[in-house]
Amino acid sequence: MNKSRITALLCAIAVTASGCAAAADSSSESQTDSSSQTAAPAAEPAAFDSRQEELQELTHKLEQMTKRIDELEKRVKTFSYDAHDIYDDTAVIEAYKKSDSSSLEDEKDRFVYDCLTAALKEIIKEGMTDYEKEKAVYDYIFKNANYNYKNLNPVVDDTVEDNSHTPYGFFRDHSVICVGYATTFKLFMDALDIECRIIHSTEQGEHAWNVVKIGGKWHHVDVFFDGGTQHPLYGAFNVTDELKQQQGYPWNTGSGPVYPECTSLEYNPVVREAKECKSIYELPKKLAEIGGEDGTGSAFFKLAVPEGAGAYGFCQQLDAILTNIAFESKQISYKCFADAGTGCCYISVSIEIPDDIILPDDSDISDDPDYRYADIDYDRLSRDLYSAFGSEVTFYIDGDQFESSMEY
Amino acid sequence: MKVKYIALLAALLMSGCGAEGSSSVSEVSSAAETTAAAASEAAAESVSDSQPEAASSLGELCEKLKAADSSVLTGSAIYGERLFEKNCKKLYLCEQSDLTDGLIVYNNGGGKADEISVIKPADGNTDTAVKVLNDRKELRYNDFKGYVPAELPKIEAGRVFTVNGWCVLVISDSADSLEKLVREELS
Repeated sequence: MNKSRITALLCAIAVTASGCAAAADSSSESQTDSSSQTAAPAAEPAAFDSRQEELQELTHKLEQMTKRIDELEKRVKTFSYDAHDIYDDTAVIEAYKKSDSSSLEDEKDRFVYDCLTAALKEIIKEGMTDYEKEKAVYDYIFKNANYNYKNLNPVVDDTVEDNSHTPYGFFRDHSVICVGYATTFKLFMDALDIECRIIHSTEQGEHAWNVVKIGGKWHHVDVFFDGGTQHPLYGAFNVTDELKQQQGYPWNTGSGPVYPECTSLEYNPVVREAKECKSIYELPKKLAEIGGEDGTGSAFFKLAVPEGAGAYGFCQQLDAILTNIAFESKQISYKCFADAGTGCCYISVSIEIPDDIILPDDSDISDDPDYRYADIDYDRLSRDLYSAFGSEVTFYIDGDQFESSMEY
Repeated sequence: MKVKYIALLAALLMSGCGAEGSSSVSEVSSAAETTAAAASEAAAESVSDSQPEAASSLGELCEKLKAADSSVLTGSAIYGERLFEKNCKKLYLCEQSDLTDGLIVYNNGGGKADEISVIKPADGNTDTAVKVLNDRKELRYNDFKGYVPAELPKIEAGRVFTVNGWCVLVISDSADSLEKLVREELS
């Protein structure tokens, strides 16, 4: 709060307090008060207490109003920013629960209802846990939608209908933006009675994703930031606040709704299903084992952070190693994340036949002490990769960029 | 802005003295909301009302820019066109009528940040227009940050400059040659 604002606030409190007390009471009462102040000094403490309470109450109200003004100012500031509307799925969900779409007046809602019903019938099996249902929905959305990069065009042609921020856009065009992913995911969760909310961050560019309650704990789910192309990598599926923060879109910053804390990785498929990789030098062999005859597919690995290295530093090294592996006829996509709690780094890898999808790269260098690097023999790793894949693979990395902070 | 709000609040509180505090709060909230809503409506109306006084003189520059990088610069909107008018507020935080001319050339395929914006403020205040274009560069950085990070170095290297009262933003891998072209055409 700036100085001028504090001054104005105090003036308002003072003026209001002095005037309101008189106006709130009847004029005769105030005259009586005034005369009684001289006639009966004993009454002063009570009157003073009453004024103080009044002042406190007014201060509280002004604080509330100040908060409200902040919100309104934010709305005015973002007026020129085209944040997308969040689809309200209430009508469709009510119809779904009644298995009766006759109450749906909107044609698009009826389309969404039909598609939702068919999709749930296809992917949800009896006896599934909430986690299994959630994962089935995530996989279904991942498989059936592409990001609509036209959303990033600077000029919007409002004569062209755009549904990419809604479940209708998902089901009809299979082309969505973040808001479309988030609203579609929530639609499914609402139909399955799994608690779910949408976080719509507009402070630093627009982005939307979900928080979902599974196993009594809340988790972030962001289909767009999965990181996979043909196979999901689950890089942002049931992750913690800490991991989500690395993707750079703020939430719970003081204005707007407050979202629950997400602290558990227990329901992340990579963490649940990762195979242990005893050292970095075992990774080439593990990668070569991925997939069937054509060598495509995905796998999850867990590596303990070497002694002396930091979880985030080691994770960054793994990231760089995987970035520098290039195949002649395949592409590798991956996600690495560190869990400082368990002292492990997790890798989710997919080896695929390439297509033209643009891969996001959200690596950032931090000064955190946990960014200490491990001592890795890159020549040995290179030999191991050639040994595992033959001439199909190329690998070059400048190890100097990760000069080890370990002492020997 | 905030001081104005506080003054408004103080005035409302004073005028509302004797009334119950809770109703003052809701009155102030609804008054402020009404003001914001009225501003939105007024802005929306003025968008549809604004008409350019003359056609753009930038048609030739637009074609030359598109030809200079034809695989990337595939879309355009020029002052006087409906598309420019409708997007003016979003792009430059002003109405079309606040400019005397302008154009934007961009990639309409999606996923590329390439853009050349050329605007001439009607009041001749190039300082404000330059600030708007710099803010626009920052906004584009945030737009692409999570979605296509590969475009970020290009946006960071984007340049804002003025030529003869025109204010220009260039975001492109060919920024040098495009800046040269713009300077030549506008000089």
